[in-house]
Amino acid sequence: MNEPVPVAEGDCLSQAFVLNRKDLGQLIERLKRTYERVYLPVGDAFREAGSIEGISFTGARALFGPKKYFFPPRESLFRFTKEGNIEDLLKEEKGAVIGARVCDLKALEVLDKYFGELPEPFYLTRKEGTFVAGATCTEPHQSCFCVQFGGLSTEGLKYDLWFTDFGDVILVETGSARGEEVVKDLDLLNAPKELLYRKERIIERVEREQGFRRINDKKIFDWFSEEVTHEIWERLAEECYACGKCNMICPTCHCFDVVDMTDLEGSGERVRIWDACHLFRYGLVASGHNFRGERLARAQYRIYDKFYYPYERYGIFACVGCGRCFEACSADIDLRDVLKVAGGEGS
Amino acid sequence: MKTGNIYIPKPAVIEKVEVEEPETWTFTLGTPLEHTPGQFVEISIPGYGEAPISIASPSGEKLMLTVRRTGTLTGALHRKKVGEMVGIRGPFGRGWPHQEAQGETLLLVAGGIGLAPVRPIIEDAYRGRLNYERLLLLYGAREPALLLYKKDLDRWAKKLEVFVTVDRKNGCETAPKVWDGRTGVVTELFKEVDFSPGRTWALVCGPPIMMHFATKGLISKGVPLNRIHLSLERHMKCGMGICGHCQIGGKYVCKDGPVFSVHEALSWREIPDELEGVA
Ligand SMILES: Cc1cc2nc3c(=O)[nH]c(=O)nc-3n(C[C@H](O)[C@H](O)[C@H](O)COP(=O)(O)OP(=O)(O)OC[C@H]3O[C@@H](n4cnc5c(N)ncnc54)[C@H](O)[C@@H]3O)c2cc1C
Ligand code: SF4
Ligand code: SF4
Ligand code: FES
Repeated sequence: MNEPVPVAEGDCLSQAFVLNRKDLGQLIERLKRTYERVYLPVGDAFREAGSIEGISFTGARALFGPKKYFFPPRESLFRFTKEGNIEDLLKEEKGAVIGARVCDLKALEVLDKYFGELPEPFYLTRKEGTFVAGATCTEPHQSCFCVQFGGLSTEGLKYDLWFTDFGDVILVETGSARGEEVVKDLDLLNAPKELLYRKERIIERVEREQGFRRINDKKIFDWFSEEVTHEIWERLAEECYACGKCNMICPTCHCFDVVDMTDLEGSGERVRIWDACHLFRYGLVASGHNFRGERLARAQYRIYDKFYYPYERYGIFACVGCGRCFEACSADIDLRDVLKVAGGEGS
Repeated sequence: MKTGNIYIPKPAVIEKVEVEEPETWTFTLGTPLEHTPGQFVEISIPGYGEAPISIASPSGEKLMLTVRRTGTLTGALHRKKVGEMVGIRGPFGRGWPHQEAQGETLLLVAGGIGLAPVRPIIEDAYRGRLNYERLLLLYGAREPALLLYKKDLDRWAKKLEVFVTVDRKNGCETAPKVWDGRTGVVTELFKEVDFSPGRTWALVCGPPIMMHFATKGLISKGVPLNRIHLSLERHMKCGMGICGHCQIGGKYVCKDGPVFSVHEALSWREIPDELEGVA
């Protein structure tokens, strides 16, 4: 990590630049000029950028990802008055999310599918107005298993900038015209090829350290297609508390409830709030019938909705291998156990 | 690619309120709506939320909704008076295969408030806008007082084959008049009616337990699984395939349904409660 960086001479790349760490503040200021607010990982979570003290793009994903800037935990849809007037609360949103990881961005692409089908205006408006800079993971977490879904390759991913943090310098690659504009304004120097090689070596190491192999999508899908009554589901249901934490922390979960919040006079807002399919009342209807009253049905549903249903509907898995759900799980339920069985390694 | 704010309902004025029974009222709204029978709307009252309600009127006519009071939104709706406003979003969902069934026998099996979503088909068939070789309506309610559209039932019976039954004669002591019709659950009517299963389309809507037994009965009568269609009820919020609430077996009931063939539903990795053990 701390090898000296060769100074750019000759062998340079046209879409890769070097940012000195001490100039990170300038980059953030530049982003604020166009995007007003900048969000980045601080400790466990993404937060609005304050001082650049201690900011780093090393390590791996934050426990609480950047989904909340695209699909907030609580979002007002419109305001109403007791006289019956309605005020539309859909408006242009701007922002810059920097330091998102491969898994975070892949998760956004999963959300693009779900929200794009309608299309859903609140998510898409935020998506359009948000500048995104990704970052290469330099150390995986114990729970990371993204290698099973393609690992750290950024091929085909959409981003404006991509960072690789080498300590004193940050390699900045551009991925869009918006990104190029920012780099141009900062007058960054082109990066030497050597930095890119070093980035590749980091990626190889991180992927190796995870100790997994790419899964065979079709094989996994076929297992889910056949094994609805496999004994592993009983085991999961026995251990699961049905608390919904895994739903709340998952970067691809997207269910919401809609409630009216009013003041004493009867004016208020219609608000959507993240919901969780693990919760008992999720499928309850007014007649008292609960269509997913069994914990088994709910525990199984969440996992089918990552590996079976989205594959059927969109040809993708809705799991990106970030490991957040089992890092957060109070009952230590590890999704990888199911994948192991599905992939034919042990039961 | 973007759309406006699809969560904002359109205003509609209540033009008429008819009491079917104390807990179930039919509201006619001043806004006509183009739709397909079997579709529903989300009805909204600011401060009380929304609820999915089946469209009971034929397409192009003033919107008729028959609503049973069960909770927050439906309770607030029952306090509204003629001339007051509500909000509407929709129509949503995939309706019945009533077009494909033209020229053949259409068998409608409805329980309780489940008569509402097939009402547009009956009305259109009655007026000759849909043509079936035969149209049979098998309708059941818990007790005589709970039968919906009593005047319509008498009228339809003049042209169509209408069979009505109640689970029990007098549920409440204040039953308005003596019931001289059939008693027994709606599936008992299968014994009474005769139809050729290979030329029949069966559309079923009612409480889960009723749909279960109706499907079982239709299968044993020999109606093919792809000709038995159910309208599933699920917890709904958005009605547009976004909030996820209504999902079953990877399908959005609000958007891919609410009408599904038994054949399709039995292929899911999650079998609907309505069909548990039917085949
Ligand atoms: C496709 C469809 C068509 C329907 N058609 C009719 C009809 O024609 N007439 C009628 O009286 N009822 C109908 N229902 C049932 C009706 O939607 C519920 O009774 C109603 O949502 C209860 O709302 P509430 O606010 O009064 O009850 P609460 O118990 O306070 O419910 C709160 C919220 O939970 C959700 N919810 C609760 N129960 C149901 C449910 N059964 N179905 C869907 N969402 C629910 C709704 O979002 C509701 O607003 C239909 C349901 C569906 C899914
Ligand atoms: S899952 Fe992969 S992309 Fe996500 S944080 Fe871990 S190593 Fe990085
Ligand atoms: S299911 Fe778990 S591992 Fe997969 S994306 Fe969601 S939180 Fe990450
Ligand atoms: S009601 Fe929201 S997805 Fe069906």
